[in-house]
Amino acid sequence: MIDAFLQGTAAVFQPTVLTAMLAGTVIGLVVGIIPAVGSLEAMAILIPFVFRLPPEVGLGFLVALASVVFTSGSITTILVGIPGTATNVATLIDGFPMNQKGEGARAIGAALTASMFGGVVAVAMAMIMIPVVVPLVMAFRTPEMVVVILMGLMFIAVVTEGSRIKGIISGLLGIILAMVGTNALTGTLRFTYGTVFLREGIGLIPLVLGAWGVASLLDLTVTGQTSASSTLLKTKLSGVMQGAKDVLLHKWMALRSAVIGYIIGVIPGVGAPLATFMAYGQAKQISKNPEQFGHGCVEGVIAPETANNAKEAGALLTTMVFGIPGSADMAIMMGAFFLLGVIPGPQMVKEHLPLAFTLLIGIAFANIVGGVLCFLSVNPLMKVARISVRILFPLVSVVIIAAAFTQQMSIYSAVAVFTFGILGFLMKMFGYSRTALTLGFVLGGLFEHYLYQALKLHGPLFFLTPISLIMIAIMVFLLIQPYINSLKGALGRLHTRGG
Amino acid sequence: MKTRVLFMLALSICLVTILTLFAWGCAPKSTTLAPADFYKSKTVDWTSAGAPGGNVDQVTRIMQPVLAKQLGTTVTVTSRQGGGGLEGHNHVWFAEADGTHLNLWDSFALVTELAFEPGSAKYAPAKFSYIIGFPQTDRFMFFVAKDSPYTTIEKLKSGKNLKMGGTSPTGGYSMATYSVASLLGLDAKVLVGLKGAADIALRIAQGEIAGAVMAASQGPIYADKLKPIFGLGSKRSPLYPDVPALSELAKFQDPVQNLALKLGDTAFSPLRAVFTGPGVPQERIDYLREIFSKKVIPEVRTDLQKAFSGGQTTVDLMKLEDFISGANVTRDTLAYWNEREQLKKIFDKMIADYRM
Repeated sequence: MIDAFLQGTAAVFQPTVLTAMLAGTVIGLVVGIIPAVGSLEAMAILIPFVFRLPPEVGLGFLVALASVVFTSGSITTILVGIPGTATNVATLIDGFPMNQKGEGARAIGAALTASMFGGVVAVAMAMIMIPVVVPLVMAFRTPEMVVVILMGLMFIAVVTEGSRIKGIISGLLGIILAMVGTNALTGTLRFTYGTVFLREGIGLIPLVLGAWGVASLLDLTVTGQTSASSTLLKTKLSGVMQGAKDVLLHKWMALRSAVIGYIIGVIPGVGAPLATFMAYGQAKQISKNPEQFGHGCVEGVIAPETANNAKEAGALLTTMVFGIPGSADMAIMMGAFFLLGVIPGPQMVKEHLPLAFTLLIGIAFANIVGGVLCFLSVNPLMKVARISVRILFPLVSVVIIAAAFTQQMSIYSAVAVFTFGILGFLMKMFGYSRTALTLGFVLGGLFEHYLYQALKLHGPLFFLTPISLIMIAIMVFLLIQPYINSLKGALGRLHTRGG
Repeated sequence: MKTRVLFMLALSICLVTILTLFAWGCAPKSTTLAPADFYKSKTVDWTSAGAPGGNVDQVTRIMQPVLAKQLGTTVTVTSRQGGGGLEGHNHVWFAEADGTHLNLWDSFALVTELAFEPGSAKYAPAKFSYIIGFPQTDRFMFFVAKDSPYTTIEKLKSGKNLKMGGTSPTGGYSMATYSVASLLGLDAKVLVGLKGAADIALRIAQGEIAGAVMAASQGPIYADKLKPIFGLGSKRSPLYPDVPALSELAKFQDPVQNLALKLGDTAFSPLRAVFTGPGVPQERIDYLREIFSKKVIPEVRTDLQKAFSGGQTTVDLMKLEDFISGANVTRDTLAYWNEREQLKKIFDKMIADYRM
């Protein structure tokens, strides 16, 4: 194992591998900045160019690309209020408000540092866990998956800003929207109205672009603001470094978020956005200032960004060691493995363990280099925040429409984006949580999927497994914790008055 | 003076019109261009109807640069996923019939999609212009966990309340699994909705399902957890030459059963076909066929094998002589199309009997 680690590390510093990883990092950063174009599309297009290369070069390039997409995606998310990727939505909840308060540089500094931290820490965890990832994946069967997703749905109540009832209604709306399309379990068409476009369901990208991107633009148009108040704008390096220091100040919270992101990444089929929302939710739960979340709290940026980058190492590990793709990106990566003549799974651990280490170290390398490159680009990028909405609206609208259209080469995607844009705008106006809507949408379909299978395979008492019961206990504790804290506070005050 | 000006103007207009018509008439029409010259002057749009990065998308992108080089033109791959491929197929169906709109898909699936979802598909599969087809490289096989008690057909038949797995309700793996349950008369139900071979493999390894049908090429990836106990159809898989085919282990008298068994050799080891829309001039079809069979496929054959076979290269699974000409693809698809009513009845019964 040690030998393989040393060989793998040495391979990273070969000029060809290093160059490939650097190129992948740069391309990944560029891809991440563009809304709705994610690593999935980029890898699909670039695979034909790399599959004749040596495995460590070709795979190193792809791994580096996939690792940093979310890093630069956070910049678009914070500055313009449009998620760079679907998994950046949780960052938007507090990142964009920070920008509007003139703390955009601080938010970006926190996001970039958190991304680097999450990526590097997760790689360390992955290397230690190579021997145990198989038992971990084997332990998570359908009952456990149901409970994990239920935990995610529980966070709807946690992440909701404002009225809890409105948050639940928003979450339920998201779940209903997730039902549109073909039910994979029964083949039934639901709410498709005879259209081919809706057979695949409503895409996450149009919903996110619309409910967040278009809605923010509409809001700015109505209020006539720039995306950040220019009088409060701090573009000095001190703002960025303040954000970096914030990560150190909240290092334990960041570490917890990295662990959450990594474990969610290891479990196949759960969905990447769950990692960021769960991390956000736990940060809010344990924060001393939970009421600040949703209004520009730096912890609300650190937690999801850490989890976002941490999950990639977990997903890659599951893919390499088990042969099961840990995420949608990794499903494409598996194809690349095959084309490059490497068969993922136990065979890879036996025959290509140094390569596994090379790729894991590649994630850490890409995260560090990507973070540094983004740090160097912050100052010029901050100027975007000063652009008047009269100029920003048409420019960003074109980008959004193009991004939506390229998803399925269908004009209906663009129609969907603007429909959700109006919905998101109205939700914002009337105090309904778009966060809960997004979380419900992401998890609703997954919950139905696994619940159906769990009931069919194990019957109504499917949740009576050790791991499920432990997770249910954690869930209950997290739910009642605020009330326990309030009770403690009240008892304490009573005691003080009595004393 | 005024009359003179008007006269000159009218004469000019007439001359310009005549010259324009003459020039247009002399210009070589696209239909009169030789195919090689025609394609050099056009951009070919290759629809990728599968998910980005999926097997169909990968194979399309592997062949695209080689095709572009051989045609001497730009070939763009456009992702038109949606409706399980229907968006892409409908697009090619309605596109201009000039041979510049290509698609790649499983020819049997083209029939089943239409049979089960007639409302959304606008095309007639037998009327597409098929350029070339190539077989899935491997057979479908029935896999169980390595420590499973169900290691023979007899043990499977004696099992009670078996749970098996499939993907989409009418997808290839699900159909094949229903077919196995039906052919062997198992006391089994098939849970559909699993997300592909990796998910199926994981569930078998975790013990949640007793077994399922998967492509043979998936076996080596999960070799420490799964093993195949028989292959579908009448031929053995080159990857598992020691594992018998179903027809060696059981005899089937019923014509319906025999049709289902035949599907194990054909539909369940289906043809991937490259095709274009109906009405394309035959000379262009022939030209594309020659380019694909003599130039493109030989160059990418090894890469296609890796993409189709989960990286397997120990066995030569894609011999050049196995590539079937477009005419045969059309014939085979038409045969399925002609049998679609009977196929649909068979599958509807299997789904009703065995789907969980």
